[in-house]
Amino acid sequence: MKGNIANIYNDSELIRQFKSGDVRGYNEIVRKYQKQVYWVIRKMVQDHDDADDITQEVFIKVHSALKDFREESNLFTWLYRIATNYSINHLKKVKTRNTVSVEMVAEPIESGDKASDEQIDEEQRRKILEAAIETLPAQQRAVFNLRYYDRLPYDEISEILGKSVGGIKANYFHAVKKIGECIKGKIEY
Amino acid sequence: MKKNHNIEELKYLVADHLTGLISKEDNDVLEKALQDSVELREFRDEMKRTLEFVKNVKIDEPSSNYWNSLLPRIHQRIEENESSSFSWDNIASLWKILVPVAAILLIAIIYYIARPVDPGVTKDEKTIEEIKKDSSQDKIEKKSEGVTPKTGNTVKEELPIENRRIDKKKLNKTDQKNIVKEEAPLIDGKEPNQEPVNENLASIDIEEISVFGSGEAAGLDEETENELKKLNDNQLQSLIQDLEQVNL
Repeated sequence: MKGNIANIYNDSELIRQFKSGDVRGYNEIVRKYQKQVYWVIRKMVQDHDDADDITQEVFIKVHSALKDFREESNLFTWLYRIATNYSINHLKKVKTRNTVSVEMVAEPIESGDKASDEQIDEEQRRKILEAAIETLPAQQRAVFNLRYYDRLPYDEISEILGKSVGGIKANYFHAVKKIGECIKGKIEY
Repeated sequence: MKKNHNIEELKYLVADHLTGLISKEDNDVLEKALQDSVELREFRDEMKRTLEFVKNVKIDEPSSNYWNSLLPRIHQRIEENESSSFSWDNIASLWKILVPVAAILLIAIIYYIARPVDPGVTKDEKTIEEIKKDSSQDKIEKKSEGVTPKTGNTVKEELPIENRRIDKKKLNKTDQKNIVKEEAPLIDGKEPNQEPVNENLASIDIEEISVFGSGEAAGLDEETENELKKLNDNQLQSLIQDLEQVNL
């Protein structure tokens, strides 16, 4: 993106800019990471409105805590950690949610020229996957999302979640296995 | 990676093998094991179907408007939070003051409750000493005036017997027993079956009798009671006289 300050300055400079009182540093951090943070949360909580609310909370937290951020980990890891913790806390609060409303998603991208049968099929497949992911414990869900969708290395996931690499590998293995068991029999591959 | 792996250990590598996130070394080990193990190949095929299913599921994305509106909404919420007077930080700073103040108050209260009492002299002993002092002063005054004091000059004694009714409710059980005689009906202005009463003792109120009848009931502590028991007849008589003179 031409002229985007986030592309010119790296994270440390944006943090320094914010610490010196220039809010543009914070704004650029939000713009740079908003999608990644949103999707980490969305994959965890599955509902758009919840994901939207938690994303805002995460960046509000970042606004209040960034002045004390000592850059012992990189900004990206720190953001993921906050986002994952907020999502896990949310899941603990709501415990179980059986359905995720597609209608609640704000202004979804148009699905193009797909046939209505295909759309129904896609909708069903999505619901089956969501139901399977909902069976996972919060930590397994977080590991699955961070490894499968974000393709993060195990040591980085370990840093984000504060767990051992061995434990993270086991979580990922069990998460994939459990999803497979849930979808087995419900759909023809 | 170890050279010899069991099937269960190798299964942990399958998902990463299918998504291309496995290291070259681990991939070589897994490829070789897959050629040798039917069980591992079956597991790999099942996991492949699962991950392909996951891959093909599309999740609705928010529109570009959503991304453009996110930052202003975050700032709006930050401003709302800042304008709110309630703050956990304020509460936290208040605690820093409240806790030491509460601790000081608590220490002061505990000290007031548990402060040491002068163990040398009990309250009853103090009372006896005061009585003795008063009686000796009384004697000196009487001698100097040269007038014989009236015997039994208590207020209660000056009242007729009929008026010496005592509210039973105010007395304890011992006192209530002692009062039975007092409440008996009067015959010709005299109490029936009245025993001869020592004139000196007549001036002592019923409550006073109960003092000697039961030290505990009279509120004397064990120590004082024991001391009273130790007194010989002369000392006891002297104490009674002293008590009479001071109208106790």
